[in-house]
Amino acid sequence: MGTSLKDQVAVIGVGCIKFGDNFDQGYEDMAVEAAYAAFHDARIAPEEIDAAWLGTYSPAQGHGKAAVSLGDALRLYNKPISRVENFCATGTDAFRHAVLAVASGMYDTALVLGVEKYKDRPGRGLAREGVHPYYHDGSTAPGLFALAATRYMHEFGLTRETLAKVAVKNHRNGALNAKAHLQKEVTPEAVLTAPIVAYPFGLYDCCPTTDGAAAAVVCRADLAKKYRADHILVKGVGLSVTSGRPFMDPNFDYLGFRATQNASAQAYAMAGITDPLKEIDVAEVHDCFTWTEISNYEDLGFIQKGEGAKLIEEGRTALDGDIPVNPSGGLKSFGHPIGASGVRMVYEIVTQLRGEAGSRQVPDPKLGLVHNVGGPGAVSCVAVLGQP
Amino acid sequence: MIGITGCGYHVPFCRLERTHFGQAWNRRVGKGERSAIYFDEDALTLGFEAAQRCLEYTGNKKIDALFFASTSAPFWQRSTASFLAAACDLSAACETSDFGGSLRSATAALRAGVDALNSRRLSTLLISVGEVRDGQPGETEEEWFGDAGSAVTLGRENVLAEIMGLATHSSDFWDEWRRDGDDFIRTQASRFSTERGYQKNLVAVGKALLEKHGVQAPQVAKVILPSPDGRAHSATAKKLGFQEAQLLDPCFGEIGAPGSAAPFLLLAAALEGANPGDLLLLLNYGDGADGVLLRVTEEIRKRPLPSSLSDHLSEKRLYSSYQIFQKMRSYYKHHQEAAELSNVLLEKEESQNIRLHGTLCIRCGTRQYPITQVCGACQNRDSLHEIPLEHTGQIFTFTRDHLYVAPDSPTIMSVVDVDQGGRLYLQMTDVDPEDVRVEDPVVLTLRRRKEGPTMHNYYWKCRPVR
Repeated sequence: MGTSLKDQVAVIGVGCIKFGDNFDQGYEDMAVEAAYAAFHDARIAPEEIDAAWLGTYSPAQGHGKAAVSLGDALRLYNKPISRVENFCATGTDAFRHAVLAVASGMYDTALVLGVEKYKDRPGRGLAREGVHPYYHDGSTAPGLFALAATRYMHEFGLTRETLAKVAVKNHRNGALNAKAHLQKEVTPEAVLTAPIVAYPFGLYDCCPTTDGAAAAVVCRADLAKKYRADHILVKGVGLSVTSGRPFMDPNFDYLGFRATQNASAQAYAMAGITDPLKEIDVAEVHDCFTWTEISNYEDLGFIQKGEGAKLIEEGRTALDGDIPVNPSGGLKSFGHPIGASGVRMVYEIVTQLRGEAGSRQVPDPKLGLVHNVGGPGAVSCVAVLGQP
Repeated sequence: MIGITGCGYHVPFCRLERTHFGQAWNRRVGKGERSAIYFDEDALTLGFEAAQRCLEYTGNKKIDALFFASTSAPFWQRSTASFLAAACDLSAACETSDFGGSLRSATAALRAGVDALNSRRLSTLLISVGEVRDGQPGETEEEWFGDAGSAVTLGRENVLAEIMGLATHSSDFWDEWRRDGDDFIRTQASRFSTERGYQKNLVAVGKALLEKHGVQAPQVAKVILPSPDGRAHSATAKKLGFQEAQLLDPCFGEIGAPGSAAPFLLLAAALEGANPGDLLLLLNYGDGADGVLLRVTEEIRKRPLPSSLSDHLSEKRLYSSYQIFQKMRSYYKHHQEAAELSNVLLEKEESQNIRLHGTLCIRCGTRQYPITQVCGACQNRDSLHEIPLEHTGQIFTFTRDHLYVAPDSPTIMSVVDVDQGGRLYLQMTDVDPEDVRVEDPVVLTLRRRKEGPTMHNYYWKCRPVR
């Protein structure tokens, strides 16, 4: 492996729009609002941006599978812009690309924009592109993760009651967040009695389909002070790609995701983290479904495989726990516009590290983690952010 | 000696009690149930499953020819037999022929097969039959018809029942037909039709066959007579001089009349209880009649049939209404949601998608699916062999998916560890969703999948062992 980029890149500004059923906003409206919020936050002018990365799984309708969705939205032309698409890790991977480019010395500043407009498309949670006509017939997003949850429950005796506690926690956090899609608390009974979407997941075990956009501006750490004194530094990033067909891999145990284990190991090594449970103060992890969050606890090294339930049962991942997870409300309550999510998590961790998270503020965090896992555990991207 | 060397059948897991036809159309109905396809079944899949069971029983995949017989094949032009030969993983040298047009299509295939064996052109032959029978909604036939698949293998070795003789009789008689554009079978059912069509032809062919071989009625152990209505077979047998006890139950109360699939299905039932030396008389009607005289051999003791028809029929799901019965029959006619598949992809991937081949890595021993160019376990590129995967396995994990759009929600999606190795991701069918458990044993079965704008598409699913 090459050299570490620890402390070489700073996040100088973040922006995030209200996520939800944004019926009055199109793709470009959301992109512009998020990007300009980040420009404002970074005290930077759009023309000072050297390069940009667009994280989007489903480009603006009519814009094709290219970076023009960003360029046309912001009228940001004649700049190097790339579109990143890597399943649900799209947003974090776009961020990672921008960080790598700035760390390389090629650019001084870069914009990362994650945006999706799902409410003007049919087929919630249904795979519509990039699927094999035979092998994926019957596949849905919740169904793919449910396969892992079923096996995990069979192996470790995890129950739906414990899964429900993840939903209750993340809804409680989301209820404190004015930008979250679902700003309401739910009771364990409501979670357990909701209609089943894909067993063992009921409606409240699943994140919603959401419109949203988030942006971040990164720059060379040695130039950061020019924009903001209270910038945040990138400590480490990691990306891992494993099989996109875990259901055909005869050696896959379906008890967790190797991509997350590998991506976090890379990021921890870069950041010099050896005991993530102790060292990380706040984490935004990919809770697309309740079980995913429990598996993430283990795959991210917070606790041993098979014991993740303890962290939620003992309240240790709640806002007042020793390892608060998803203070934003998570995908579960904040919503999950795929490419926007990773950038939105960067926004949340930066906000937490700056101490600006208001009623959902975690006490005095120094180090925060951003994690996405996409496809049925195929792709994971992790970023560690911290105080200078 | 030429004869039957194996048999198999598949009656759809789903049935409809005849009382539901009465409720739907406000009329009197008969007793019992009819078998009824699930949304993913058609004549091809019924014929496949019967053939699969037959080949599993014989354990012999050296088949020279595959004949498919049906009056309801899913394609007017496109050989079901050729498709089934691929699905059964038979070689390209396998001779394939399709028989249709008459309820005698199965026995017509048998006659052709016996000739080919006699001439020594073929040595083993598989005949697969599948029928999906649609009566005019509201008419009696809707309630009388049934859906089923059946299959036999013919050969010279390991013969279970020797074919002693064949007889045939042609008659152009209007009692039941379907024009090229018709969705439903038309009939002129009456006592006249039964007596002049069914009875007259069967009696003529039965008499001729018995006389030719010098066999008296009391010498016959079982008479196999498919019944169009649950009654006519009885009167016909009596006319031929048989006692009620010699008559095989045509399962009209459990299945209905499954057209061309009936003769071999009932032959299998007759073989279950047969003893060496038993004479069996199989008679089949349809625009004339065919007769087959068989003598059971000692082989039946050596290789008893693996299951009984009554056990097979006892496992079932009863549709809760006539509407659901109709929805399952017509769903794909109205839901053509899959993109048209390119024949380039279909050709390129036939060995994995239809023949169910995978890759064996000689170096690490991992069997994998689909066919791979690099071993997923040890990343070796040099020691990979294409192999057929087993058709049995175990559920590794599953979900009951209510989000996926299907005519019968939830859809069970399962990860199946195939026996001997290989892992597949399949829809599960013919199962109560609440009954699925991790580690349950399953059998792979070929079913209709999402319908394309102009093609019928088929892929593997799994089902409980039964």
